[in-house]
Amino acid sequence: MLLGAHALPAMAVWAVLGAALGTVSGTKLLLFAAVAYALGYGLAETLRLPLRVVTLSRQVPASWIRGRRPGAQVAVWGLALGPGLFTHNYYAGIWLIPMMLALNGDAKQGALVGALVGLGHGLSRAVGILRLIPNLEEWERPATIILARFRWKLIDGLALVLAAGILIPRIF
Amino acid sequence: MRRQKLLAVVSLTAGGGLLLGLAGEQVGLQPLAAGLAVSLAVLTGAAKQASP
Repeated sequence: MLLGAHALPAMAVWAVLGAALGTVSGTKLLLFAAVAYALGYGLAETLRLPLRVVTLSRQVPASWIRGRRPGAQVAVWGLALGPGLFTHNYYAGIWLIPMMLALNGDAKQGALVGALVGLGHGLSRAVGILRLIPNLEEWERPATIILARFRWKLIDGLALVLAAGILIPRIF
Repeated sequence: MRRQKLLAVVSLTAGGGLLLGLAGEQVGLQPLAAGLAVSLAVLTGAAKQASP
C-alpha cells in the first residue's frame, strides 16, 4: 500500500512532466546549463559551500493528515511526497532530472522515462520510510537527522559531480 | 585535512565521470540522459530518508 501510494502518483506526475519537457528543443544550451548546474551544486554540496538549493519551503500540512483514516493518510503522504516536487527538498540532484528529461527531445520517450523516474523516486522514498519505522526513536533525535542529511548531501553532491563529468564530453 | 580529502574525492569523481563520458561517447545522448535521470531519482528519493 505504502509503495503503491508513493510510486503511482509519482509515475503520473513525472510522466506528464517528461512528455512536456520532451518537446523542448535546444540540446547544446540545455547540456551547457545541465553541466553548469551539476558542477556548481555538486561542488557546493560536497564542499559545503553556501549555495542555496532551489526548493519549496513547505512540508505536508498537518491539517491534511489529522483526523483521516490510515489509508487516506498514506494516500495523502504518497501524493505529496512520492514525486519529490511538492515539498521541501534538501538535495539539488532533483532539479537535474527535468533537464535530463528535456534532453530526450521526444514527448513519448520523455513520458516513458518520466514514468521510470517517478517509479524510482516514489519507491525509494517509500522504502526509506519503511526503513525508518523500526528505528523511529533514533530518528527523532536531531543529531541523527543532521548527520544523515550531511551524508546524503555529500552523496548527492558526488553524484552531481559525476554527472557533470559524464556530460562534459557531449558539449564538444 | 578533511577538506583536502574531500577535494581529492571530488576530483577523482569528476575525473571518473569524464572518463566514463569519453568511454561511452558512442552511446547516444538520449539513453545517457535517461539513465542519469532515473539514477538521480532513486538517489534523491532515498536521500529524503533524512527528512522524516
